[in-house]
Amino acid sequence: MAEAADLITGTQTDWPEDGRHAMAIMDDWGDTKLIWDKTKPAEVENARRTYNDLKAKGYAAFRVSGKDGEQGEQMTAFDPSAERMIMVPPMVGG
Amino acid sequence: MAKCKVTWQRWATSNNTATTASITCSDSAAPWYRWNYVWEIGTEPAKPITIAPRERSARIAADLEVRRRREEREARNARLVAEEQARAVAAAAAGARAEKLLRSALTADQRQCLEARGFFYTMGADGHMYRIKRGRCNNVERVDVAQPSRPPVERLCAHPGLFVPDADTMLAQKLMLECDPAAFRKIANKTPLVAGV
Repeated sequence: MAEAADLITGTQTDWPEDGRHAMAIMDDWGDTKLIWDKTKPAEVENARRTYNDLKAKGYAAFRVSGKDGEQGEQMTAFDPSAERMIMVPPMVGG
Repeated sequence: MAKCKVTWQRWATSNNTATTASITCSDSAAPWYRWNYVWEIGTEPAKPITIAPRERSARIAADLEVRRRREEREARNARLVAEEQARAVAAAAAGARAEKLLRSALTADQRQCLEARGFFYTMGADGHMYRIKRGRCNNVERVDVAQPSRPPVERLCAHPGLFVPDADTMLAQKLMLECDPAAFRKIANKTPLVAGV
């Protein structure tokens, strides 16, 4: 799990509506959202580092638009302009 | 015959020939020793049952041990109940968060279907239609695109390796099927439900 200092946990369950971008990381708490402002380089770098850490652990990244369930798109690289991302843990056969 | 503990007054009355309730003894152990007589009450004269000091000490120690163990057991049970309740509260909160995330990624029709019937349909990138039911395992079914309400042709089981709420699992399955169904099918355990599949 990311160790970002500004990782927002537990308090925010909704996607931000103030123009900031968010990455929802699935976990046993439901999900933990990392939120960043694309105009702030430190926050973008933090989000990028978190993205890379999770990808290294086998997470799959999907960009979602949030517009009436529009089909998502799998991401291969961090895109700071992606408004909503969902990080899915590695899948296993059941 | 009923047994009862002798009250101080009765004991004092039966063991004291003085006119007052006070008892004079040669040492401090004597009144306590005599106090522990257990009297049988009935039509016959009361018969004191003598308990030897050593046996009495052992009985007291045994009673204290029983009490200590009972208190320990009750404290442990109370702690386990509290932990279980805390886990249930945390699980409910996690489930609610996951449900909110899932619903944010569904179409209106998918949300309605999920609420009414406990599953939703999604079109995979491979042109197949999948039905994703509530759950974690064996909850994905490939259905006929033309007639999705017919029995499924195949059941697939794949879920996040990390334990996440069921709604998160369903969302993960939806995203993978919509974006990379080949990878999903490669991972999943597949159960054909129709011959020739």
